[in-house]
Amino acid sequence: MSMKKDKQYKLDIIPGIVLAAFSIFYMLQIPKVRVFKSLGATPLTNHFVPYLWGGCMLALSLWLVIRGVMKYNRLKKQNALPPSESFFAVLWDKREVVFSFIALALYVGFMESIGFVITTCIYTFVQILILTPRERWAKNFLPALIIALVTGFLLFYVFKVMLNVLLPVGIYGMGL
Amino acid sequence: MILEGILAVCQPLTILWIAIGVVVGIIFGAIPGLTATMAIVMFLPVTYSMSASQGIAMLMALYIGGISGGLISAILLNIPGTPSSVATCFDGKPMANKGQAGRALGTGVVFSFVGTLIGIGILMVLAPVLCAFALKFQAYEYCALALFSLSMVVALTGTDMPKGLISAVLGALLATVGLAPIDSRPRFTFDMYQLNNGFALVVLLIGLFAISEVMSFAESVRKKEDFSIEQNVKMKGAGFSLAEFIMQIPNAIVSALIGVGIGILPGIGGGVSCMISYTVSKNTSKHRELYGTGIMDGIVASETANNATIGGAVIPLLSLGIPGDPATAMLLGGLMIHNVAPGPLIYEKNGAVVYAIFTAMLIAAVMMLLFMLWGMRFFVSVLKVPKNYLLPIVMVLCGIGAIGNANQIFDTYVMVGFGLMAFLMIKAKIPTVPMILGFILGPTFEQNLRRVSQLASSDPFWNHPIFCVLIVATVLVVIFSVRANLKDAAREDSNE
Amino acid sequence: MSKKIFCALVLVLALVSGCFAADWPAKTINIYVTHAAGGDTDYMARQLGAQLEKILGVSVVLSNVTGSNGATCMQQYRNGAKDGYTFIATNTAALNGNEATGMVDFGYNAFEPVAVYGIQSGENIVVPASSPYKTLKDLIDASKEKPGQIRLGISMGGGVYIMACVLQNIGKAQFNIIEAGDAANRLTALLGNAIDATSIPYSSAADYIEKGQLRSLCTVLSKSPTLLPGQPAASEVIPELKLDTEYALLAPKGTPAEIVKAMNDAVMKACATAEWKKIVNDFSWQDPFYFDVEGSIANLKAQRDLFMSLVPILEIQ
Repeated sequence: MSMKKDKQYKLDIIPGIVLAAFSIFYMLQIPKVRVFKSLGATPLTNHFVPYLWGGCMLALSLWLVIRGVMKYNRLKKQNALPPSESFFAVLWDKREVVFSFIALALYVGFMESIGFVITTCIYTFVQILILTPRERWAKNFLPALIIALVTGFLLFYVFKVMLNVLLPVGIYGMGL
Repeated sequence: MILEGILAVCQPLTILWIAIGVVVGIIFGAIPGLTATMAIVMFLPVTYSMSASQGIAMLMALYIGGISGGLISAILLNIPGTPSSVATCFDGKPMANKGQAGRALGTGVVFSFVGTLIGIGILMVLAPVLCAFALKFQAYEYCALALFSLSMVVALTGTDMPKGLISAVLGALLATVGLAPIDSRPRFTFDMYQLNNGFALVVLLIGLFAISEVMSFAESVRKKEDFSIEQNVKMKGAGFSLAEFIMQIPNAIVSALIGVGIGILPGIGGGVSCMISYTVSKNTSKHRELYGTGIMDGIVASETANNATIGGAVIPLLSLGIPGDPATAMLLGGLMIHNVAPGPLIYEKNGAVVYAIFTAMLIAAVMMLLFMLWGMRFFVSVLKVPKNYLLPIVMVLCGIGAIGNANQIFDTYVMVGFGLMAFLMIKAKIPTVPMILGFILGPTFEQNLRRVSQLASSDPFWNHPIFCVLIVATVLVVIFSVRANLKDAAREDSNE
Repeated sequence: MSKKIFCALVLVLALVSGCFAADWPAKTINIYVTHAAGGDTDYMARQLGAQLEKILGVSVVLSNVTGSNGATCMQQYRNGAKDGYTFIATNTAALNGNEATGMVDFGYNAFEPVAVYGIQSGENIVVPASSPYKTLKDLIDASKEKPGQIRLGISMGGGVYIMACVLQNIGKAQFNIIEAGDAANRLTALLGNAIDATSIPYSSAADYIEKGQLRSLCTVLSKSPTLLPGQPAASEVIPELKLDTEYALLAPKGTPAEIVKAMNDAVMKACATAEWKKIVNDFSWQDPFYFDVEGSIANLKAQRDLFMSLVPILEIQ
């Protein structure tokens, strides 16, 4: 085993714990599923396979946790533990990702009430800027705005008007 | 009758519909979030008012175009355009990164064509024989087949096996949400009726590939120097030499056979066929370590197989009236509406239509080849579009795809959730591809396992030779793949 | 005072709905189809939509909102816009069947039924041609002689399940009930000899019957389709064994009665044409089959009453 792999012990322990918790939560939900017992019921009920997958998941995630702890112990013995980073520092370092997720969540969250065209124009514009470095914003402002408007209206026309996809019309009625 | 069928298609208007179908199909296939199935769903009502041969020809063209178009975004954007081209990303994107986007596209297009032709050839010659074989597949056989296909996960996990398995199991867990197979009891829906339908494969793919691609670009925003990726792409013919083509023929034939085989068996589909044939090609190759670094073999395996699946899937559709996947279920509807009832009598009753279908498929395959080769220059120029403009538009299209899949806005919320999950998985170095296999095969496995549990007392497993063979094969694949993985891991360690 | 307010309210409501009906239809009508494109429910709805477009002079847009045997769409649009431009096209076996099997907790009463506008060619109980059973009675008797030996392929929760429950509980048959999936899967299982009998749509069985691979024992429609006369009906053996799948148009609860009536008039007009007769003759071997609003409700009620009377034997917890 190489040191490099050992240094990633957190990538075993944290996902392991999260997934173990998830699989326990999942398996606690299984008894709430109604079992079908009448005519033609199968001996293996609709609980069996969820327990099978849930059990596999729990076992695998515990394996991950144990492996991570072993890596941690090896590093500790060699006194080679990497310096820990603050969670918020990491988050700030990835701020474009955080903002992209927030923009995306707001986009789909408001799409139904406000409507496809308006939310799409705003989202496209914002997302283009998020993916553009700050110092280039001034230069990209106008093209981003034009692209955003064209995207919103054109895609609405193609998919809602021509192809009948049920895109939300929202407050922007357009008489449809 | 054969001539009548050919003549029915060889009319200007029908050819025009085929051309439109191929182009629309390629566009739907190429745009992430929009799939071949969706193209067929959206255009099926349009064909209600056409003549039988026109309507069916157009649907076939949409199907062929849609499955083929998926390779474009898989190679250029690392986002599979349809579930069938997931495995095309594995080598397609690395090739594009090496500046060989044109070569990768050319390989994909030409071998898509080869796969389609082999599929159609087998469909025309062997359909009745293969149907008898398909009927042997009942609950026991499907249960074992699902297990066998799932065992491919082990080969796909790479060097970190527990994480690969976690990914597959997570996929299977997600697939249990919704109405349970067999008894339709809601599971894990938390009383939200929108969850009764379960999660759609296309929504999962958007989350796993499209959103994670946007996020990985977002991570690098401040580190990027140049924004438009100036690809110096040289395009000559299809991008590869005749000698290279000949070298790939054995690989293509094996992949095509896998594709047709999976196509014939209802309920598995192109998404699995490309991954299985990729795995088989990799594990039987003399240079398996090069797979994933951008070699032709990987693209050939994936693209030949997924297009051969078309011909395979049409076999039970026409000869038995049994659709194998959502796309062929739509085609079945399209046939019935034109009073063509697929089944054992289709050759006798609607022989002309059958030959019209074959002709239409051949014409569509040729058109697909021509349009895609001709359009390659244009496709490649996508790489020159600054990604900070391209990716937001791709995201919006994915949102439309998620809504259009079942006309549910709820699916966009799921899409964002899957995107977040995929991002965290990638950060935790958990591979995302095994998840797709788990997601597709989990329900097939459960449904047939439960049927088997019902049959076991009256009809024990030793009456089912195919079941036994598949189970043995599964065990062998697992052992072989685990050994190969350990070897790879050891090599990786020694390289560091 | 309160009486005055009430009267005023009634007047306003009447006026508003009057206005509605007078200018109706003024814009695009949306019909949400509960089943996927390519199926019979979708085809019939789209054919009706095309006819309505001609009669009403506005565009009629059909969208499929699918899943859970139509329950997803019905759940989503039962409280949809009541402006008379939102309709739901479905089939009665799904509407009443989902309520009887407990998939949803509402029935046709949660909507304003507009019209029943067609009937399916129905399902038939079929066996392989090599099997010794010639009638449904033969099959049931044989199952009583060899309890648990004859395998009947069904799918859970749908109309076929209701049928199997009637066969076992009222017909006192003793089949080995095997879950075999949807119609296409049941056909595969029957051809692959994994089951001995099942029920599949006539349209998928027709070729096999003609080629002499399968034999139809009876139709489960209450009477055989007009263009396929002379088939024995299952209800001749067991009166409760009736599964008529009819196509219905519904409006969200609270849609003004005038508009429902006006829409029904348009549907009736569409169904009376020679063009419509040809469409349904070709597609479902049936003659046009339609009712006015009251007739449609009575029709829905009759089927619901039958299905709900079977709830005790469906043994659904």
